[in-house]
Amino acid sequence: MAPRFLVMVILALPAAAAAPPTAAAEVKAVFLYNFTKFVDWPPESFPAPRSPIVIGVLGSDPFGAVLDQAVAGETVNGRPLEIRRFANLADLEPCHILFISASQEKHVPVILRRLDRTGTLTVADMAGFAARGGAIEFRIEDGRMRFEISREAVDRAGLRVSSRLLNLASTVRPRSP
Amino acid sequence: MGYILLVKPARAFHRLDLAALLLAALARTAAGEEIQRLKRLSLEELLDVPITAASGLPERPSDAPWSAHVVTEETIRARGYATLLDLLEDVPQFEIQHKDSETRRNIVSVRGLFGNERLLILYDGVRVTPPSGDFYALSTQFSLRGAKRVEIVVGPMSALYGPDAVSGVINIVTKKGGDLGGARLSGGYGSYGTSDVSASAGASFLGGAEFSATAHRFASDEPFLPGRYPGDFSAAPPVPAGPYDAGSGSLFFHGRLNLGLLETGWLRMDESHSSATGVKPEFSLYDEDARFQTVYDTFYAKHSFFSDDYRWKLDTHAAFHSYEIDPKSRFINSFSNFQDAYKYGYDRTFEFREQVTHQLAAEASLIAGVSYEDHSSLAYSADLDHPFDPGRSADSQGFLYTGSDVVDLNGNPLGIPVDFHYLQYRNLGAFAQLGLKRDSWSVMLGARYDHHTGYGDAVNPRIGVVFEPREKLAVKANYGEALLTPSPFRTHGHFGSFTPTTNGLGQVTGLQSFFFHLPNPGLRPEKLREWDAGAAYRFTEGFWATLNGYYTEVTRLIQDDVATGPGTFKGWPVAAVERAVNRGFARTYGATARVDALARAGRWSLKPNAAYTYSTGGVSGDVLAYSARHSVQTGVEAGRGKLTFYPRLIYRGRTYSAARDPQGGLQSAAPHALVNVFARYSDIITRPLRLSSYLGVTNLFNLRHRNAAFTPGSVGFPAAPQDPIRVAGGLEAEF
Repeated sequence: MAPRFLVMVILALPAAAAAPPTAAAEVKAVFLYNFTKFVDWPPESFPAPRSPIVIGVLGSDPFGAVLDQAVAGETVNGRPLEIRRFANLADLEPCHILFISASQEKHVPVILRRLDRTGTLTVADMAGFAARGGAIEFRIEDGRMRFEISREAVDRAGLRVSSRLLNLASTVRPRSP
Repeated sequence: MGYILLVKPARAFHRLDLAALLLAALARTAAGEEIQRLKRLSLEELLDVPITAASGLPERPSDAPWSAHVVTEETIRARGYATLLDLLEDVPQFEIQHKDSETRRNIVSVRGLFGNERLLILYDGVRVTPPSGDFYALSTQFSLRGAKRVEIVVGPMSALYGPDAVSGVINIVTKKGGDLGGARLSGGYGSYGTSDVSASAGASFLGGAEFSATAHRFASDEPFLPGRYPGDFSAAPPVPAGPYDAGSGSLFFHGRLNLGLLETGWLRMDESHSSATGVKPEFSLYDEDARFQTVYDTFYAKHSFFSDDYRWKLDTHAAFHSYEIDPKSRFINSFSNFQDAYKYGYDRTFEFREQVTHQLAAEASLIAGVSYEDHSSLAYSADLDHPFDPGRSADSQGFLYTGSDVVDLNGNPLGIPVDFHYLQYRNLGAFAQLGLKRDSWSVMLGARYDHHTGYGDAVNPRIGVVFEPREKLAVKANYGEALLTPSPFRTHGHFGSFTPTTNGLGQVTGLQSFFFHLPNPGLRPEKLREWDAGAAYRFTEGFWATLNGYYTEVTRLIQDDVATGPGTFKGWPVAAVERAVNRGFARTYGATARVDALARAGRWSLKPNAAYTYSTGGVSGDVLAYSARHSVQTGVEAGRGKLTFYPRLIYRGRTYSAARDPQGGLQSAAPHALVNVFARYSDIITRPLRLSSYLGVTNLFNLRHRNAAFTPGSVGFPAAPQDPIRVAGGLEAEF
């Protein structure tokens, strides 16, 4: 009798309306959009006052339409946002943010060397990306999106990241002494 | 599917085309709405959005759980795992025999091989199981209250972690100060006077310093088993006994300070349980004084250094471990003639490790390092008639073997001073592991060399291969070796008692003993070799299946209590002598089939999982002990809004014991299926603090059941009686 009663009590507990779990790609896409608001690029990285902030995706695109939806119609500091996709390193053009897809994992050292000091904020969700010299590494911990920022990589890119973003990073990899 | 009804009758492919278009449009709209919703969130709120992939379902087939499992904090909370013991119940190829050992309390088997000392447990990479390989109780002291995740690797991992990582390695990763960013209090109360209280707090400071601390106390009067199993408790002890008391308790504390790349910390674990656990009441007192208690302290410091280009990393690790049997630990049993028989022993180990991780190229990484351990041990003592004083030398404390403190008919005192075995030994190790990745292949090659001042040189290799021929399929194979050096307990632990022999006039003529467990310093290390292979296939994003098989061979297997017939000790006859011996050859093999899924049913999100494990083998001609041939672990994590609900079922087939009944037959525990349920209701209020409640029920259907006995049947229960239904509930506050 006691077990049955307990089951009934448990089942009778009120349940609030649930927000369904969200696909990781959607959260990452919105983070990429938000990064444009919390990172300062040097003026010389824009050819003209109204030049767009370019978010690139290198390799197989994990976002589909959601990244386009995240930036559609948005402007940051008066600049429109633009998405460009590159199949491989040979196709790569200058970007302000470059999301490096996991399909490019074995090329990461070459990609990072190519982008060294070019004013590009490199982002990926590969384990160890920030340790290998990338600027921001996404990871999922305990069912939530987290990101690690490498101050070293941000500095080398000549970028300034707002303290608010740094405070929200799960790990901030320090500058080398 | 209602939109199909709006389509006018037409040719089938037209309907399908339109349906596809509508579906695509609906999906786009839904995705677009979700994106707009996410964009309206603050960054802090965005970090709090639940992610589908965090379910414990892997993102890639090669991450699928078989020989390695990662349990996230979300899963720990949803399933109500308060301690590692709770969690291990759900891990395939692990089996726990509860309440069957006087010293170890619960005994774990992994892939058919039993023995807590074969399992290496770490917090943040720092070991918390005795470095000497001494036995320990697998009980409630391994808290998960401050845990961020738990990583479990099944199989021999000596190539990286040292010679005693035989059956597997468990690493409990805890939260840094910044991860906690506040405090969490938890208070629970349950049946049988059970209380479960914990507090965690953490903060980060200017300059990158972070501090966190977690304390967890568990105490229980435990169920009154004589009322539940009157047949097992029908006999009374031959001496007056107080009220039945088999209470248990534990205390856990972990404090850590992170200063940039430097971390220091202190881990403490106290554990206490009845020293009559698993023993018939006529042979051991279930008394409040009869407790077996251990105290474990670890102080550690770790530092990481990164090269300028982040291609290599240097990790330095130093730790001091102190494992001690509390001097108040005592047995009151037939071996001590129902007198207080105190126990003592310790191991103090200084450990140093230097490890370099080098990214040789995009496809190759190398881990290499050296380690040094310096052990100082006092082996598990014989029965002592008063508590050992750790502040004084053993010789000055006047201990005599139980029953020997008599004077013979000629007036000669026969008292025999107790032997205390102080041991000093060191272990020097060097290891390297190379990881190579190429297209769909990755290979890991590792080896470790150890020089032990007591047992000489040993090399333990490990090789692993992962092949992902298709996006949805991964195939893995591993081979590893491990060495388990005999602990001081096994080589030098001894216990038993004497009784005087008398002539026809009742005068003492000498001594004799009915039983002694004697030291065996000649024990050799166990050698284990294990092969495992498996495959994982992702049928859809929300449905996985894995299959994993293993084959294990152990040579020179050590068995703790092998009767070797009559003998002598200190020159007096002993009717039954028992020793730990290298018994011979053991072989275990088996397989696990497992499915994991993610689904929705209305407003419920469901994460069902099920695993079936087949386990068999033998030890020198006997069937495998402490491992059921058939076992099933299954459960469903169900969530709806703030409510999570986790019912689970654990089935164990007949489980044999290594202990024999008085007629020489192997003892066993009958098959049984247990149902446990856990429910949590989160965020009852969110301001000024977040308040959640939980309710857990184990053995929901109040089943009478038993686990395989550890103590031989002449003294222990034929099979260890287990708990009736237990209910516990509590509140958690975060602020």
